[in-house]
Amino acid sequence: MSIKDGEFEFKLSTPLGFSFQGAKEETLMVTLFEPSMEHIKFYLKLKQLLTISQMDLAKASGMFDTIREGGQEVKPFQDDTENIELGVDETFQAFKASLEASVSVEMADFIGTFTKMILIPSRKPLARVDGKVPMTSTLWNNLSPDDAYNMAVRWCSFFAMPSQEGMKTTLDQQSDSHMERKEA
Amino acid sequence: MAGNITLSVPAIIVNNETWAIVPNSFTYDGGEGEVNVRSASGGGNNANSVHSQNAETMIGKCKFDIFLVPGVDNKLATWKENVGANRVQAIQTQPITGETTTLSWDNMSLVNAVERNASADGVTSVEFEGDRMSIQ
Repeated sequence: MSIKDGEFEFKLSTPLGFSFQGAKEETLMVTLFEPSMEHIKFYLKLKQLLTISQMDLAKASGMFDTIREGGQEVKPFQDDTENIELGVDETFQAFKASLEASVSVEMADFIGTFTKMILIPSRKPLARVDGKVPMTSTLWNNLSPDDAYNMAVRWCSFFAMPSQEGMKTTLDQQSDSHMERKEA
Repeated sequence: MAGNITLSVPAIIVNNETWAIVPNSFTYDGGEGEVNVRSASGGGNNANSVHSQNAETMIGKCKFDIFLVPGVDNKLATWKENVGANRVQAIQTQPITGETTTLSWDNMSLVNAVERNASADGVTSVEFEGDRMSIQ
């Protein structure tokens, strides 16, 4: 279960009760999945919000001045899948810091967009509680606020990296056709 | 002092989804079952009562009406397929204290033939039967 499979597990801090096959269960695990075209409206907005918040952070830290003075090395394209997974914790912390410090991005806007996206009726749900039950508004409302927020940021650090091609879809069909075009 | 609030406007949750129901349409049976009471004659004027629980009637039931909005047909089909595998909850919150009473019925089947009434004031009745009610 990794970014290559288009899914990963998120651990809650508070147990979440849910109904499965007619009985009550509790779990600390939510499986999150990559977005599809059904989610594009919200997915792109999240990406934009994260980019804006990171720009804010860069401005505040004076990073732009450094780049203007010395420039930066242009790195060749490579399959960054493993690096993305290793760096997810760092990205998660960086996203949290930039969102919380941003003067342009409302956190309510961020979590509101994520909530709408995760709850839209979809053939391919973005979240399954305990890997079984699609996330519903009832279950979402039973989450602790911190779990909901962390889940949103963690999902973004896997699937909505502002400047990385981290999604599964870029690694199979699309990358194949790209290679063919290059060879021709 | 606030009075007790009756279970008149519960939130109805079926399989993790909250459903807006027709007001005052929710009725339920906890599945406590019937007790048969008979009389055993002791001769003369003597008679003792004999009590027996009838386990045949220990079935949890709940029924309510919903409006025929888009998505209801798909949902009814899902509930119907989940034979013995639906879970229904009714949650009533006390407005001032915020305390909740949750009634749950596990392993439920949608038992009635669901007749949809597609009219301006039409409603669709659903009846679930299964395990006895639990209270939290």
